Amino acid sequence: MARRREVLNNRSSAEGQSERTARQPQWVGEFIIVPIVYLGEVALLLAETVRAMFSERLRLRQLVEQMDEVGVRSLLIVLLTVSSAGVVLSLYTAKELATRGAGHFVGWLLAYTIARELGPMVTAIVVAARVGAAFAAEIGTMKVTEQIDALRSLAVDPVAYLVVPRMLACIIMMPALTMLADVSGTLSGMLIASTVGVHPNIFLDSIRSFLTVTDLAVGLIKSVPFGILIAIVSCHQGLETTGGAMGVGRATTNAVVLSLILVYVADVIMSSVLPK
Amino acid sequence: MEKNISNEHVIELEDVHYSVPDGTEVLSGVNLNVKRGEIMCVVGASGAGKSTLLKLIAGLLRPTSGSVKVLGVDITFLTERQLNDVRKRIGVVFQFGALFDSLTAFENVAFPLREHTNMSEDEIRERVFELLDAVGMRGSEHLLPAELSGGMRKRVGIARALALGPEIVLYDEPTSGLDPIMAGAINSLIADMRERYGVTSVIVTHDIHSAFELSDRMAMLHDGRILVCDTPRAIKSNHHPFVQRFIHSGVREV
Repeated sequence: MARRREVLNNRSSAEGQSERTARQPQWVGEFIIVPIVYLGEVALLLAETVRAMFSERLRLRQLVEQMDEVGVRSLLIVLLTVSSAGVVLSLYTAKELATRGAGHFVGWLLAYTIARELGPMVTAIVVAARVGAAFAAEIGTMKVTEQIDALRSLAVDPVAYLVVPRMLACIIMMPALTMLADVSGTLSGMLIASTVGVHPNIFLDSIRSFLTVTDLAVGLIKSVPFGILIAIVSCHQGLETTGGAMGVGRATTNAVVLSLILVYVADVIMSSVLPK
Repeated sequence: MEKNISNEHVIELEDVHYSVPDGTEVLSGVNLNVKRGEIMCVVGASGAGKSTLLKLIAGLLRPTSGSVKVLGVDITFLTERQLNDVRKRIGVVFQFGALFDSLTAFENVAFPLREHTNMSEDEIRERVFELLDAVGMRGSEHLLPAELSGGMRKRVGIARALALGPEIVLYDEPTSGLDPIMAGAINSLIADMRERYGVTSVIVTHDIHSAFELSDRMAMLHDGRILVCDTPRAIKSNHHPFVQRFIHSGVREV
């Protein structure tokens, strides 16, 4: 009987609550509260990861495995994507500039665009799609099959065991990938430019005289926060997975979409803050 | 049969309530004590909150109210890191094994040893083979979990839970989905652990036949509470209608 009353009370209080929330427009919840709560959760996981990074021993085997996954296995597709961007950029600009007598700017224009924006950005997009999805799917599967609980029951911190090596791998490999992407993007652009009358020597000379170390550094520096965002967002999605195979699918999609959104936001902020 | 049950309570649940985040109350005031060396079976229909109860004892979930004491430590408000000291003394056997899929059976059993002991690789190998022998899985050590059957996964899961020599082992449905012979083998393994090492076992199950065979005391979970907690013999003669229905239905969903 007492239990019955409790249930009734709970129900009426739940109704009261929905009445209260009904008074504020729905978009407040959807577009303001949900994102704030989400960012809070991600920030907490980031803090927890940094703490675990310094307080727990590093699992070298996991780190090497993840560096292989993030770096080595992403390399080909990253190079391919950035190179194609370099080719297209060159196709659109090299001939125009060359016919207007500005052929000696082509090399700089390409290298500048790729080093500052295309290189780090395209690398981040490819890594978010490839690696972010893998992180979320793997950790999500571990979550729904109780492997995360198993880790905890064996007194192993899932953040230290799973998130730390993944984030470190992203921090180390993103600049490395970006650097190689810069080189391959610029070289493939050079190849195309040479077919429309910009000699490679002029192309390289242009880079040498106009491109600064700052341009290169800005791109490489940007890639580090991109890597951190991709790792944390995707691992967070994985750890929060519920609801079996469908939940894993949802977590994977969310990981990619949210990583990309946050990478775009971070890109805009960093591009306006970092030295021009 | 000599049973090493002392009067010391190694698990004490006091008025434990647990609600899932959407507000549904799964446990509403559970009181349960388990003595050292005892085999306690918690039976109840599917969805009665048995697995939740187990996770509360393992510190994987936190009660909404009430207190959980394990091995003399009140774990209700401990942080994850403080919990780890207690967790090293508890083994948890998950319903589907919960083996790490990227590791072989051998590596799964070796995992807690590598994480928490300074044993050499030779010592680890010896200990892992001893454990795999005990669960009848010697010879499958190089297989990945995906290559094992459900029963085999469960047995490797038991070996992993026993690796650190826990004082308490919690089993989530250890015999469900197994053929009767394998179920019997696992039951005798559980009994054997007590005989040899004085391990306390809490077994959550809806296999009432195993429960009667194995337990020193049984607790019947119904409607979020412990309905009765007594020896199998006393339970059999209990006249509560639900208890009788549960026993005689051979325990399907009620």
